[in-house]
Amino acid sequence: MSSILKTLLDENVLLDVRNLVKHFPVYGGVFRRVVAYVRAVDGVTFGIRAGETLAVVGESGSGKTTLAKTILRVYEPTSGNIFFDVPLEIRRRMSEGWGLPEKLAELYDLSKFDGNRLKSIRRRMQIVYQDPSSSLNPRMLVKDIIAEPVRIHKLKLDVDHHVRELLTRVGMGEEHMYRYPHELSGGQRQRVAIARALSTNPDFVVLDEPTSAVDVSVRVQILNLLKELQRQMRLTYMFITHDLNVVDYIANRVMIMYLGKMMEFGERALIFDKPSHPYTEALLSAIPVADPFTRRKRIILKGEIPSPVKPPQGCPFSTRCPYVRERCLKEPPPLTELRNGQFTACFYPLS
Amino acid sequence: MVMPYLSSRKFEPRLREIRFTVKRLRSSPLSLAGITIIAAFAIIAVLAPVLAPPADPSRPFNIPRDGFSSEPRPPSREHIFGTTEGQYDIYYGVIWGSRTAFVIGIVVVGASLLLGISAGSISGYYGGRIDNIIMRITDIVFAFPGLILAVAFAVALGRSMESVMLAITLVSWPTYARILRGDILQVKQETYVEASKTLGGSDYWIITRHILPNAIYPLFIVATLDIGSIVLLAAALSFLGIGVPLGYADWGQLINLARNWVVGPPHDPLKYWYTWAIPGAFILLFVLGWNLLGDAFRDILDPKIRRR
Repeated sequence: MSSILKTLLDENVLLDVRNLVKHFPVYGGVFRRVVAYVRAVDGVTFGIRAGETLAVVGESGSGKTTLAKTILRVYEPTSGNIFFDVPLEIRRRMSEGWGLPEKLAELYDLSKFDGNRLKSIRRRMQIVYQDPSSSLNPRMLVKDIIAEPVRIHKLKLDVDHHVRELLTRVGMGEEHMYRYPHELSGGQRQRVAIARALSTNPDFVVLDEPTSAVDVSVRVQILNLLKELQRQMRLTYMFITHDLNVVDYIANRVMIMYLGKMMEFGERALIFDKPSHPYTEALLSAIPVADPFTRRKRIILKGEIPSPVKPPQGCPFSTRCPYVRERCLKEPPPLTELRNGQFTACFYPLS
Repeated sequence: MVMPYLSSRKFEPRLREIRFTVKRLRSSPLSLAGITIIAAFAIIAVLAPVLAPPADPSRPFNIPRDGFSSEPRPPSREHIFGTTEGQYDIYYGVIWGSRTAFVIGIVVVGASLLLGISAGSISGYYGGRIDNIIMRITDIVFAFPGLILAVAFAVALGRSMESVMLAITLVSWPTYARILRGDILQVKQETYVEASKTLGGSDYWIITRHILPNAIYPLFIVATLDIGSIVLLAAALSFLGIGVPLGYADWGQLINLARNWVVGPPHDPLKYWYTWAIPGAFILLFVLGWNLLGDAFRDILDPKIRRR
């Protein structure tokens, strides 16, 4: 059993994702046949503990959003398992492979849910999108936007009261109920999107770069709001971003992705203080520091992220790694436990 | 000065939008002209039993005839617009013809919208094989000129008001399906559609709450503009003698009856002007009215030019 799998077998793990794969077919030729696959998410295993914030970091095209949307079943997973709030006993039996794993998967694996079972689990997992001006229907009133989940799930609630309460929670007021999204500021729109996500009282919320489309001055307000809501409502966050300052501010643990694979995973403090993967190191060196006299070693990566249709044979990062060695080009490095609470997919970790 | 926008704090914004719409309408003379014309026709159609009381109330659409002579008679005290070939009363024909025009326009556009919206939504939202099948059916209809195909349907279905409406519906729904499909393909990529899906919204919910409200407005504009041309097409069918039965109050029918009297005797070429000019003017004004109204709707409903 790989070492990261062992960490999943914990009472506190709310979301247990195993070897998740999402490949998008590429059609080509006269007959529109499948000629290749985009390996957007290529075998990712990790867990999120109840009440924590896991930051998922990586550059554009690294598969972080695809990973989240596959977990939320916006996309159909190609393979792998997703266990959401499944008792430890069952997950242990699954990983040890006894007691009819197929039967168990049928019953507990979210990646195989459909119909009403999928719908009822959707109540407990929500998403806040990057750009609130496109994630809110321009022809719906704020009230109807926030009430939509209640209506979809036919919850027996006083809709008006519920919406008012949620608006207060996200720092807005009753006077915004009868507004259209275009009548609100960017920050207010994102607050509405957050209120909608919280409307069904979920356990798990994916935050897909929730602060990158809002004004810098509002960014911290939104982050503080999210932190406050997490505390009040015992939420578990998967926070997708490429802003490492935000990660430092909000995350408990960090996952670094590159080309659909996990490069490094671990406690925030460990990742920031003792990065072990060359890619993590490069990302950290790129954080801007507001001090003109600081001179730092900048690692400038050459080239671009390789095509996920034809990933490199060995380590995905081998084409751009400043420390690349022969072994890296031949075989992909497995994810290994470097120290307690830090995993890395590198043959020659830095620290 | 307090902006009305800000003072209407708890004011239902839909009402605000309607007020704005009315204001826009009132400020455009052409829209007003369109509304006036259509309103006038609507009044005529509603008041038809008063304006031209039918002899036989159970069959009000039958134009009364005064004799069987073929030569039209000019306007007189008895027949204020004169009589056309076969001594059908023109006044009665145009008044009850307004009702026919409205019935044809509204029923055909309504049925075409219903068919077009259903087919277009399914086609655009689901895509794939079902989309292919629906689009190939529309291709078949588009392969023929509209009038020719309508003639074919009308001939096959027999001579009656219902078959005229059915024939025109069968010809006009594919346009709506196509337009809507195109707009849906665009709208369904929007993030709020995906958001609704992750909230657990069913396909029906997503189509009716998110996709149609954002994709349907262009269709309404086209539909309004179409009422005029649909009435024109119905008139064309009647003119060709494959529309409504002989003697039915319908403008196209009156034009058809006037066919032999467009030009009078050599010394008085405009002798029988009333046989074609009066029903012609009704058709002209009706179509013009709907076109002006359609333009007005476009200016109002298209969010891109609405606030200009």
